[in-house]
Amino acid sequence: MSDEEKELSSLSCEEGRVSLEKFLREMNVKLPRCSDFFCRRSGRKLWVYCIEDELKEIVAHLIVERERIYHAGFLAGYIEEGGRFVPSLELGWELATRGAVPGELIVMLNEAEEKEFIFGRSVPVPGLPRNRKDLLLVLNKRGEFLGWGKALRGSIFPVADIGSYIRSKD
Amino acid sequence: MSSEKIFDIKVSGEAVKLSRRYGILPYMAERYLMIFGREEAELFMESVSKGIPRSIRCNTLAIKDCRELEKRLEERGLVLRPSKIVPYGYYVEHSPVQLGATIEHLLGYYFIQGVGSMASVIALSPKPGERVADLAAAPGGKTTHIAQLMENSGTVLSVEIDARRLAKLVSNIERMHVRNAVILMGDILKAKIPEGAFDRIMLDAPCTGEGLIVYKRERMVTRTEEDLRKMSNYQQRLVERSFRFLKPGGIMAYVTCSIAPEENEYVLSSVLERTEDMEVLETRLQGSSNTPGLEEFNGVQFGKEMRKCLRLYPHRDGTEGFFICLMRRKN
Repeated sequence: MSDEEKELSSLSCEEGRVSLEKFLREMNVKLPRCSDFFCRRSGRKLWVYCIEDELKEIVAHLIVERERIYHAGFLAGYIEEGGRFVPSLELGWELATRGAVPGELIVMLNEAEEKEFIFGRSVPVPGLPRNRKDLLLVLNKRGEFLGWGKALRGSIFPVADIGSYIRSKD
Repeated sequence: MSSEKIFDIKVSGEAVKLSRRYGILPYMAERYLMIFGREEAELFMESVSKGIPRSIRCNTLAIKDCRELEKRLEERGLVLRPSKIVPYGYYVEHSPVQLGATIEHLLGYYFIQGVGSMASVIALSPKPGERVADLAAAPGGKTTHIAQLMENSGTVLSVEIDARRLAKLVSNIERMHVRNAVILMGDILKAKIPEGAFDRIMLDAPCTGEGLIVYKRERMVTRTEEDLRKMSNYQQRLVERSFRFLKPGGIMAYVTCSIAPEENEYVLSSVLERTEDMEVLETRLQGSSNTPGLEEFNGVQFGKEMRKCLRLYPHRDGTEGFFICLMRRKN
């Protein structure tokens, strides 16, 4: 972590909180269990983490000691240069398991489509709007979270999918 | 305690024969003869030659009912056998698919992990709401298991020195839906971790990996006595430092995936000698053979206290070779 990154690590990052809340408002969902925030800048991204009260003390201690924190609590997403918030897979899982997302923002895939999607490939989905700006929550038929996607030309394009857990490992 | 004698292994003719038969280095064979005696050393080497099946841990943070996971995996053609030591651990006797490539793995429903490694977390027994540190944490098997037993409450400080392994640790923590962890990149000998602050500590110390020869054949010929000596010194420094992070009354698990007495009983008994507020606790696990730690090795006495520690072996417990020992910081 560079000195610049260390300076930007903070317990309460206003920019992160505002971006996350705006994203959730646009999706018309609420996220509990996010009593404070921790942010970490890496490259051109600002990573935003939700932390519970129990984690605050240790995070604060490590920041004061200028130690290198790489993760705290749960990753909500990151802000790209230009201010766009990109939700994490963890946020998607949290929203999906709470059943908190309005139906029009959900795409459900069958088993064959699921396989394509988690390989990071686009999947034609009958009945999907041709183009849609919003990010969509992609689930399988069991209602399990597979990733975030975007509708384009009648297909769902992966923005982030759970297959990346093993692809990134490689 | 003589610090050098323990590393001075005189190889006998019998050890040379054993080493040739099983393709291991002669000094290793001699040590197995010392630990087990002739007959059991053969049994040990037979089980190493056969290997043990891979195993998985059902993650109740992501899937509430492990029977549901069993059912789904069996529908994919996996043959599972429950572990006797870990109630939510399974040996995979057969799998037509790669264990890391199923949708259930990607969803965080299970972690591919040795039963010995799982057993160490069960021995430490972290409770919801506690403050726990997992030192030398990558790739995250123990951190995610600790969070599971803590039901995602309290705090887990997870420390890793190696930047390359850190990415894997972070990825696994996210995949397994852990919410109560803070990951610190740092050297536990130098990092400013708060002292006297933790209820429990897991120190899965870097080791020569002698217990993993059931999985990794190359380990049979790649490590020398000199590696053991170097590792042993480093491990003693890690134990002494890590123990300071405990609250008075707090419990630390010293764990290695090694069956080498040089990396286990010798390390702990050396530290115990110079640490007034350290006491060894009885470490036993239901479903295991409860093999005690060694009192003596190669003419070096470790003391009766070391019998309270626990050894896991492939031929007795069906696990990778493992050493687990609990210590308490006296009030």
